[in-house]
Amino acid sequence: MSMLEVDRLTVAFPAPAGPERAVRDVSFELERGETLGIVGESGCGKSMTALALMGLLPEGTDTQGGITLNGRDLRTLDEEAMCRVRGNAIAMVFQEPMTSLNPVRAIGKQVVEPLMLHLGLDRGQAKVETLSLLERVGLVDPRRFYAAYPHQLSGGQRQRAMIAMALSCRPEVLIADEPTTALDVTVQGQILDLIRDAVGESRMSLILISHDLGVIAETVDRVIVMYGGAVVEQGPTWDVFTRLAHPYTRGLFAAMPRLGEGRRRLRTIPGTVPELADLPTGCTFADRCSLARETCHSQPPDMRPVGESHSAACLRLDAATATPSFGSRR
Amino acid sequence: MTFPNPPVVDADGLTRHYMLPRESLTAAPQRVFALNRVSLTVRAGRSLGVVGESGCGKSTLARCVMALEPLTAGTLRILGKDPHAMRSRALRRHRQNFQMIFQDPFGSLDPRHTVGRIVSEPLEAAEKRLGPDERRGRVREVLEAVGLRGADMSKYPHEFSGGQRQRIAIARALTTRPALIVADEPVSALDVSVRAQVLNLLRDLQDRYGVTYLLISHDLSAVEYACHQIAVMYMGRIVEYGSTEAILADAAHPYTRALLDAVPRSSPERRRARTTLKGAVPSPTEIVSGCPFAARCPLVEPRCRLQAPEWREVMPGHGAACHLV
Repeated sequence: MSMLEVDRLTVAFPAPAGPERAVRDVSFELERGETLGIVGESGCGKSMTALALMGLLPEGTDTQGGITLNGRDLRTLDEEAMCRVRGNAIAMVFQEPMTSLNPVRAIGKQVVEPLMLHLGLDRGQAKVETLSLLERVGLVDPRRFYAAYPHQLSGGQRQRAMIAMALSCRPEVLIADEPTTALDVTVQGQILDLIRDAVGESRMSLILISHDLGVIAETVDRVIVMYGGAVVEQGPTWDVFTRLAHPYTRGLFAAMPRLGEGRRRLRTIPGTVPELADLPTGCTFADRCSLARETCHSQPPDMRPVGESHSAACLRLDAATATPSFGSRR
Repeated sequence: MTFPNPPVVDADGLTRHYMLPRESLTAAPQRVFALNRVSLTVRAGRSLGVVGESGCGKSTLARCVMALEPLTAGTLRILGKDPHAMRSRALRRHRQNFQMIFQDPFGSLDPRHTVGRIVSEPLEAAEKRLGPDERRGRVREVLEAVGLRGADMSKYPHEFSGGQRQRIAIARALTTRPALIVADEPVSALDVSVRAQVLNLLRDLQDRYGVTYLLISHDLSAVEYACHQIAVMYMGRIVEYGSTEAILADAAHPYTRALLDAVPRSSPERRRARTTLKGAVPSPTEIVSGCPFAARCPLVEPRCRLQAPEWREVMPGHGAACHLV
């Protein structure tokens, strides 16, 4: 049994035009020490999947399916029990550290909190631990950062503080939702290295959520591609990025300008993402797909094997993989 | 035989300093040196990409070129005329020649105005003599040029997706048939698939109307795709300038190389140990005596901290401000 198992997770929000199904039948497993990436465009359900794992979805949300951590179903836990899991066994790093840090409390005070709450350390022990954590995430001169307030830090330093907080209770799963999107490209590299090292050192599992295919390619072993709330392709990063089985994955790659490719014209995916309240009956990508046939519009596709532990949800998989892959070009 | 196109933007020594509020009554006033003696030329029908980290002064440069901010020093010419030296009425007329696209298509369009009104607004300011029919015709023309329909004129911004709104913003910039469009991070807020549509559109419009672009972006791959020339900025200065091919293939400045190296690549076989820069951009409230990049440069030498590097040409049209070039 895997450490984390997500089984047919479905999240729907009540909306005037009918429930918006933000996540539909998402299933995946995560082993200890494994790194998993979730990639997709805005509104594809990647962040909602993360919030569901953390038990942080807004009230009134209709959640179905199972989330099992070490054999324990997190969905059956009450709020008090979930509080003991959140920040302890599963920790999360958010995109914009300025909005997720408390602006009126010093950084040190905020890192101390989970240590006292979850590990039961007293204030003195917690402070010693916090100073070593701050140093570990690259905030040299930890005493200065302990007393500093979030506004006194740069974006990269704030994200380091967030990571210190997330690592404080030695979580089994670290979820990082677009951790470097708000940062400069040079700082992005530092933060990704930090996350990768922290995960490697302590045999944590990582779920990295990003819209940036490059960030995903450089950081994780396995990748899930999401579109319109559902998984369209998953497999080992290298396999997925070289074979590009699903037409949407191909479209994403072709649409992305890549360094060193000059002024070669970009291929685009026509149209826009579907409305979550009004999803097509068949494949959600069918309206934008050049390979779509009649059946694609009427019949939802199931996951089909592409290679070893690599699968894609597409009825026209044979046609899609018959054309040369964009992934092979440089 | 080819003649160089005439310059659309000709900037010489653009400098912009901001005064910071005093920390106390007796404290010495502090200044932010946002832009320091930036000189550049963009010729008609070409596009220049300005890249750099946040706080490097690239947006200040865009706002100074648009005459949305006064200059502390330096001279700017757009089609030969200096917008900073003009009185407001003349400047308003001159503005039809240079228009701007902003990053956030949600914040830059008035939610209470129809698309038709948004797109025709620059016309009302610049070309008062146009009659309503001509004006409507012009709006229809630019909406169709950016891939929207003339019927979209009576809709409101909230009825459009992010990519479509950016098209509306581009249409608005085009209505006065400007020679220059300054675009500040025009695709940063857009998703990958939509970003490609907008980048292609910007290039098609250049091919069709010969527009000149000054494109500000932190995204090197987008700039490579859309621009003929690249200027790399660091702490309010241009540290390297050259053709896109030259910069991508043969970057001369260590900062440019670090920037290029930091871009994550999507081919997993190339997972590599990147040479990450230490630290972040230092505070721009002090003028450093040596090279501004010395504190983070992997190749730093003692002279770099003492002496500011001079501009050196690597090849005609490609230069960098670095002692080691």
